[in-house]
Amino acid sequence: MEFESARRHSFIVSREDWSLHRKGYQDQARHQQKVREAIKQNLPDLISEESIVLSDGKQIIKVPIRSLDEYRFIYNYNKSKHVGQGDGDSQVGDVLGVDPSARKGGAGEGAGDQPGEDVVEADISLADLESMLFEELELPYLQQKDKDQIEITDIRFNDIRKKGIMSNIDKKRTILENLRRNATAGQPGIHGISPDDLRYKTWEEIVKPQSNAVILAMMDTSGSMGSFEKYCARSFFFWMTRFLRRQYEKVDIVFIAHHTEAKEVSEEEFLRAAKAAARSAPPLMSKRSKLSTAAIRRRFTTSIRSIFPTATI
Amino acid sequence: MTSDNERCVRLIKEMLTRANIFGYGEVNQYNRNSTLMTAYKNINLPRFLYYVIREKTKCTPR
Repeated sequence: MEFESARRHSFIVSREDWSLHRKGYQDQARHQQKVREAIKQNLPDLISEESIVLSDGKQIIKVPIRSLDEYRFIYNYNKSKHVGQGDGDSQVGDVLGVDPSARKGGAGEGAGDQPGEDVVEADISLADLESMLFEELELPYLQQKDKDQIEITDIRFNDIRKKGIMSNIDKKRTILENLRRNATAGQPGIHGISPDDLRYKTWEEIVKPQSNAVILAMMDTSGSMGSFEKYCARSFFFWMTRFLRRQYEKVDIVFIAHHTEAKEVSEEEFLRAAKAAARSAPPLMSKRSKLSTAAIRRRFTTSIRSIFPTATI
Repeated sequence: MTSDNERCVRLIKEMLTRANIFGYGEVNQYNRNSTLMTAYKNINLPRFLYYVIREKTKCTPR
């Protein structure tokens, strides 16, 4: 019996205030939120930036974010009045004084008298930018095809059990269980957590069929492609390939470059063709369409894949 | 070439019997449509998508 009671009280509930211990984490989370906002605001400029699109995709991107001041006491700021005084019978909602420095400084002509905003540059990796960009995107009209495809596994915590790993303990449910047991014993409250009360989160492996898709990327490389056109096309295909490779494990991308003739090229060649100038010749669109129909027939005649031709001129 | 457009339309229709979608993006900074685009606009298939990219910030969604 003694052993039993010792076991029963081997778990305690810590009632310490942990909020200060989490300060670093909170600051970090806040910074990350600021970075996310900054990215969202600057997204169109960021994604079309030449240095990214022409890069190998391994670089760090800088986004300007407004620096955040820590809370602190400021004495006699700008030597202006910071208090207001009522006239004797103030009502709730009366404005007694306004912060005179609330006027915004900003860009414009002439010398200003307000301090500017401090801007710091935060570094984010291309991978982070991608995950924000592609979060909710997916290929449209994906159909369920043959099922002999690769299945990817993932885990999902969706079960509560009495046995498990201590690091996966479900605190809330354990406390609830304890409360319940104590209440039935006639001594409500959280005390004497016994091994019986412990609840653990356990996971389940999920398998989902992965869809295979084929993307046919077709691009005009003829002389009518000026530098702007080439840049746009390159930027489009750059993000498209990155999107596909990131979101889908099994996609094949076929690159077709064409001027008067169309041919299948490697990815490097394809993107390089977008950079290099081509001789002037009118593009024959039907040639590339013909080639891609041929490619579809030749290689992807089975119904395994979903086929997505994408073309730019 | 303008003579080519009709063949394109036919081939795209043929391709769409197998493909899920056919997307066509035209980089065109001017306010007039190309002849090919005009031909494509008459394709009324739900799986045929087209878009005119007028500026470089429009190369990705959003």
